[in-house]
Amino acid sequence: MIYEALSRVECIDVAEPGVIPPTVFTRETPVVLRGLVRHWPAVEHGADDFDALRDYLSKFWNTRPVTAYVAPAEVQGRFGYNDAFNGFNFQAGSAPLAEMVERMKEQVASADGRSIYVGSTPVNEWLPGFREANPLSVPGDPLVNFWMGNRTTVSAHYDFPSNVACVVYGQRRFTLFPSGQVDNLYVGPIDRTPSGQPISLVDFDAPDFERFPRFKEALEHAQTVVLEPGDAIFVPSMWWHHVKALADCNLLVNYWWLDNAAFMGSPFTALMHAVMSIRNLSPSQRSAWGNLFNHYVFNADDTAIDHIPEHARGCLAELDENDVRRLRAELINRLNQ
Amino acid sequence: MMSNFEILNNVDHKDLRVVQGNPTTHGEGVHCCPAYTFEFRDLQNDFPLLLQEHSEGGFIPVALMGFEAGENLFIECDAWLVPTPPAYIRKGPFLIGTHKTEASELVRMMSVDTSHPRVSWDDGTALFQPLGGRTDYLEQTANLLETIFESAEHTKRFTAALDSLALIESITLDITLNDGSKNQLLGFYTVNEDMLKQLSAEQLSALSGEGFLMPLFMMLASLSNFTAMIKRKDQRL
Repeated sequence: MIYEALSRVECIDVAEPGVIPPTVFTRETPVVLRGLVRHWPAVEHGADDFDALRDYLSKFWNTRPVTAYVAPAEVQGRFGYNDAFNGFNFQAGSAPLAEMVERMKEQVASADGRSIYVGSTPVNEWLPGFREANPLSVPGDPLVNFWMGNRTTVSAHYDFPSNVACVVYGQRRFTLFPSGQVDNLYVGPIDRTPSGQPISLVDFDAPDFERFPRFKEALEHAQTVVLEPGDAIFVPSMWWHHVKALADCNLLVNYWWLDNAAFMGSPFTALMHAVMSIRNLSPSQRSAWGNLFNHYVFNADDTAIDHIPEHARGCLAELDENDVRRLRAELINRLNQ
Repeated sequence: MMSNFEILNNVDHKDLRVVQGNPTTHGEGVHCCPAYTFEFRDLQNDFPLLLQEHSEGGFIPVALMGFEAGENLFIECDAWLVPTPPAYIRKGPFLIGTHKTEASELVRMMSVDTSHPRVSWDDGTALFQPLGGRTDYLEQTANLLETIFESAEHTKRFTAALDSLALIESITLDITLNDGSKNQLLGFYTVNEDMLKQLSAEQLSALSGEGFLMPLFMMLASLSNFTAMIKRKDQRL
């Protein structure tokens, strides 16, 4: 196993359960918040056994069908592409949460190695009232999702929002890499992904270093931790994270929030546009556009605009919501050709 | 109410909505409206297609919906009786036009009449997505406007061709209703069939080449709708 040799994620003390220390929000590196949600009734019920947690959840859940991924034993819970790389190695199904929980328990009891995974599901829509009964104060208007399954693995991927993930039941191992490690993580397609985000193709439990030699370099920069019920981790925006559920049954609740205004454009859409428009230019043109992108975007500071009268800076001025709307309309028109 | 056209944009018209349904209360209870050659085939199924003198000279085709101002025999219980009303009605408060940019380029732009009875700022169908993208409704309306814009040019050439061949004659319709009342329809023109019969093969071929022959015959065929319209009017008495 690769994990023993890796650096550990820094831990900080939580003075008061349910309160994220304010220093967390300005961090640029991950941090573990042991016991952040140990006071949650859901965590306390789960301390008995999974059935106690199930009974507790049944007070909240409704009959709305929820999407679950199921995979045969040979997948070993690592949801991703199939061997031929022309599809995925799992199937999606939907049923009410109560039924999904029963199916998960059956699979655990039969120990047949099949996996089931309900990923990234909005708490307010499937477990209304849960959030109020199990509170955590997170800035702004975060997206709150739950993730439930047996021994399943989410391959390393990044998310744009900042993230606090809380283990309610089971154990989860988080392995994290700074965004710059993208070169060493052997990331799969960006336009056809198993559940939204591009994923690393490396199997962390049995890395094929012949196929993925630079992954050794990535491991030099990795941090890992195992979270127990009640523990939480702060995953900064854009950090790659590989998440492996280690118990028979596992439940996690996470909070995603954006540090930028929601009306801004999507950076990923900008990347796709750049792939379409710039990636296939000649090396010299590409490098010229690289200079412009650095000048206007990546190293943006006042030197790009301070010689232009303030009223004439157009989209290079500070953008408010209406400016962004106008720019969006302009881009929609330009793209529609 | 006076029209108040503004160039449509996702900032000033962020919350502008278009109320659907209830044609009469939204200004659609009119007795005629402009018609475009692209829709003659559909319209001739229900409406008499006639011509009117245009204020700027020449003629424009119109779909007749009633015999007097404010009468629309194709709306009942404040709902359209036909599946597809004329495009001029369906386009609602929108208009497409050519505008000169700061760089003196001519670009086509969509405008909205903010005084139009269908325009609302709180209920109805939204034009823009929450972050400023276009809704399906706006896309569909923009497509319809494009179609109208292109057909308007063809329609103009169509009526000019009819005029140059002296195929346009005025029509006076005297209608006697069941209750004995008499109505007269004035100010409309139609195709002079006698003149049409005298056209040479070359003239007919030229009309056909321009795509004018089909709308011309659709106009003639549409006149049979008068009977059904008079019947409807009688039933309303």
